[in-house]
Amino acid sequence: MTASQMPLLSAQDLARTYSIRRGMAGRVTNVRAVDGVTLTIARGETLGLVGESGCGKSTTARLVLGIERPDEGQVRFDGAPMPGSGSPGWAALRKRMQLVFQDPLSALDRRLPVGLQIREPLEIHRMGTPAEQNARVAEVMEEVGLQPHHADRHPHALSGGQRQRAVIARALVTQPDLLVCDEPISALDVSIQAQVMNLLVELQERLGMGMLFVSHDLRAVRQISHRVAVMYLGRIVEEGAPDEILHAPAHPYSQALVSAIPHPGKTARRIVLQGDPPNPADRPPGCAFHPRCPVTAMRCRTETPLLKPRPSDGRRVACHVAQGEVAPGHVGQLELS
Amino acid sequence: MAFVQIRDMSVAFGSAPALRGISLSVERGEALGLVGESGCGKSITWLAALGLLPRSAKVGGSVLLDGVELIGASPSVLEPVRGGRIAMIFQDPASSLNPVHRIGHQIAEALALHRGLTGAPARAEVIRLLDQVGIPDAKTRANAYPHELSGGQNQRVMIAMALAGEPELLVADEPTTALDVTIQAQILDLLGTIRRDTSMGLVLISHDLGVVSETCSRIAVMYAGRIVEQAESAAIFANPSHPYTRGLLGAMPPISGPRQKLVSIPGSVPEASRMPQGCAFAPRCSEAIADCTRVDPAAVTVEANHLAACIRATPAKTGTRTPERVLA
Amino acid sequence: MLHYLGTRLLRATVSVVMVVTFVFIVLRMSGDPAVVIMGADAPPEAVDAFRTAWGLDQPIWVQYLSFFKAIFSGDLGQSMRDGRDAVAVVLERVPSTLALTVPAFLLNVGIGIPAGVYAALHRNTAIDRFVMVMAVTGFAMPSFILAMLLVLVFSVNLGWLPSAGQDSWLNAILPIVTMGFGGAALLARFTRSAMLEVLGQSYIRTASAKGLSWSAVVWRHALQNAAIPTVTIIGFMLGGLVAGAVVVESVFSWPGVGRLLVVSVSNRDLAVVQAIVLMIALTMVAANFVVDILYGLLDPKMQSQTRPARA
Repeated sequence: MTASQMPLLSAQDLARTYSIRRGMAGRVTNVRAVDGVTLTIARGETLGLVGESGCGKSTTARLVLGIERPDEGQVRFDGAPMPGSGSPGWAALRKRMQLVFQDPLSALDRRLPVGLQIREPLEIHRMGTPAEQNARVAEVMEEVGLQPHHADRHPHALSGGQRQRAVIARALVTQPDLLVCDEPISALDVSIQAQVMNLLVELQERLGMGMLFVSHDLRAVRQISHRVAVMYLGRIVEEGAPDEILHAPAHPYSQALVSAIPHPGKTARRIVLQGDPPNPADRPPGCAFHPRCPVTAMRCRTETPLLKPRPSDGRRVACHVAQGEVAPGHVGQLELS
Repeated sequence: MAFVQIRDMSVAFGSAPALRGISLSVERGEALGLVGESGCGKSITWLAALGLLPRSAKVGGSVLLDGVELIGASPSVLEPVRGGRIAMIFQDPASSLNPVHRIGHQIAEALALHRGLTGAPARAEVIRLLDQVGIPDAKTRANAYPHELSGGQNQRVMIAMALAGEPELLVADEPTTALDVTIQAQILDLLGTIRRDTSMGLVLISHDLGVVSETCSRIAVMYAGRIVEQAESAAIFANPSHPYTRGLLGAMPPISGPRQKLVSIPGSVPEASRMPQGCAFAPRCSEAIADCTRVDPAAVTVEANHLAACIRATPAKTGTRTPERVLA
Repeated sequence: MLHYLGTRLLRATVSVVMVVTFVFIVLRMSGDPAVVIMGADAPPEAVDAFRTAWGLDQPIWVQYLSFFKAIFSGDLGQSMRDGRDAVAVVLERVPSTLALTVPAFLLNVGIGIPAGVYAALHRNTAIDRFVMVMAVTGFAMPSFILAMLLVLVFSVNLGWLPSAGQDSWLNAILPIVTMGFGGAALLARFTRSAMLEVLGQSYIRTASAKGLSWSAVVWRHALQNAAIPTVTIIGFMLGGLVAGAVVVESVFSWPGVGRLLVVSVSNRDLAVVQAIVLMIALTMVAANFVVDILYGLLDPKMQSQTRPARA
């Protein structure tokens, strides 16, 4: 991406807080699911968003799609601010940005043949004559590797891989500029995962869309993305090229994620993080990762590190230690095995 | 003789076969990985061995535990085995624990059954076990209900409950699939530590070759109710001899090297009620020849302790078939 | 637990206030009570006198407040027929109704739950199918048809049991069976499906894998979990029993609250109808409160969060 090119999507300082009330007379807890996320996606680029459950990656996906409004910050699509939800401008944007969900069976209507469901977005957005719509459905089904006779099948009559292909076909039928995939492969079997990953890479290259690929699986993210952002408790803690992050992670959390990848013939010792994944309703002060961090220093407990390029090599990382601002703290919690 | 010896075991639900004749042995203290996609029969193998399948399941073949037959055995034979000699933990820890009982109570139940512990000694042992599996503040946590603990902690509780009977073998059925990546690492680490401390055997059931390869010394790959390949872990990766095993390895995105198209397996797993003729994998196999759709291949020894059920696998010149490890 | 009890009690209180308000509105909306009771052709002076005597000439909010005041002091006015205290008129019929509903309830629970559990444990056997056929029959058949069938068989044809009145305990048998059967059928069906759902849960497999015998698995791990949804239905059934009493008491001429309600409605005895409606409503609220407490005792999750909305 050159400076003259405007990114397809840019999100600035997004924040989203949910209020949760426990019990009828219980007190209200504010859960800051997304806390100051800034990201851009260029045309033809795939950004991988990786993190564990509750880190805010799915909320981020909904915010950039405009399905949810951020409490703070702004999303710009193709240079223009996201119109208000439900407005005509917002509705028109739906055909330019599409979403693929995790579970294809629940994303499809069980009572309708998939051909009709793939066609539906064209009808909603009144794109083309019925004959053109038919032609487009046939075309997109071929693109995702479905046979023409699959159009008449109901979702339950398709295999898991075919269902996810149908979901992808429905998302692509309007020729969107941005495709957001929220854990699109985690509900699928291993051999089917590879099929879908290949398909996404191929489609993205051929159609030149921007893509946001949300996943907990670093391997899959490397396979698909041009750039990777690691999220922890509502914030992006590190961002860079996939191989940079996988081979030389800078943030201690990225290091733990990378070392947790099960790997045949792995000989390196694994960093085992202590404690449970954090609770967004009970966010630690300072760096949110500090209670589980093997190299916590004093400053990490009080001051939230910002995501910025590291002086040494320009890697964008939000960590006082990785930035060289403080010396690594105790290594007592670091358990090597 | 092997600790557990499974011979030609078959399971069918109605007319749909779930297991189509598998033979497998587990040595005392061994860590064996069982790998395959959903529906391949990897969990059913062990549920059937322990008599935990619903009565509608038709189970055939033989499972010998130290020479004692388990298939068709009476409850008085099976109940001391379950949890006492072979313990099992499951995929989703939150739903595998009873939501209305405190976790300490659920562990104590196993202590009473297999070690005759009740009252204060049982309570002390519960706390020791929770401590052993790394639950912080075990004394208080013993009084917690499952919904008050996280997924990772619940899986630790399941492991503590399994350890309560001091079993000789732990069968862990996808123990980390429902957990986050960093928690998965914790649990695998814990299983490793326990094995070092107790010399307990482990059967790790998983869809993830990576998970299994790190933990287990030997791996059996299952497809559509059969074992298609088994070997030492290193040999599976160095010399995968069944096209399905090669497919599984190719489907795993690499973590280094150039990024290229994954070698994916086309199509999908056959339904149990519509099993293809000949080799069940033939319709998806890129190397299939005409014979593959006619003959269901028997296992051949490709090298010492390495078996593959593929007619195109070349038998080793020096290797001989080890009868107790014949697959088909 | 205290917090849990507190919120349930608060909810029950709100329900009571809403019920009382509802009764007040419905009774005012059904026409001018003075005209309804005195008759359309009564002299206007008499109607006015009636209005003053009953406070019906006051502004509506004064009537509403005094309505509350009256209810909480237990004064629901006099029966417009014989001038006796309406509450007393209703209360003297309560033992008769309890003599039917309590045994019927015990029959519901005592037959319905074991039958449902047994059917679930022996799924797809002949006994399971028999229980389910009985359950569907009992569930589908309106109670007055069952009542008439029972009368035909046991009173008319066999002559074993009396068909009406309250002369001896034999008179109670047919009404109790009528009310008990429908509820037992409903409960059997519900218990069976609750039990089947629980038996399919992963923790049941865990309990078996632990080495527990099947009977220990059922007793210690399945029943309490299956009881959680079943208790909801029992709460609904308590309300159904009171409603059922109206029909069954009429068919068998049993002098209980239900029959009193039918008679009072046709006699336009406003005060008595009002007292009965309030009593029924309060019974339902109380039943729901008991269900809530049982919920809290059975399901540890309920003490730390709100109960999911019930249909």
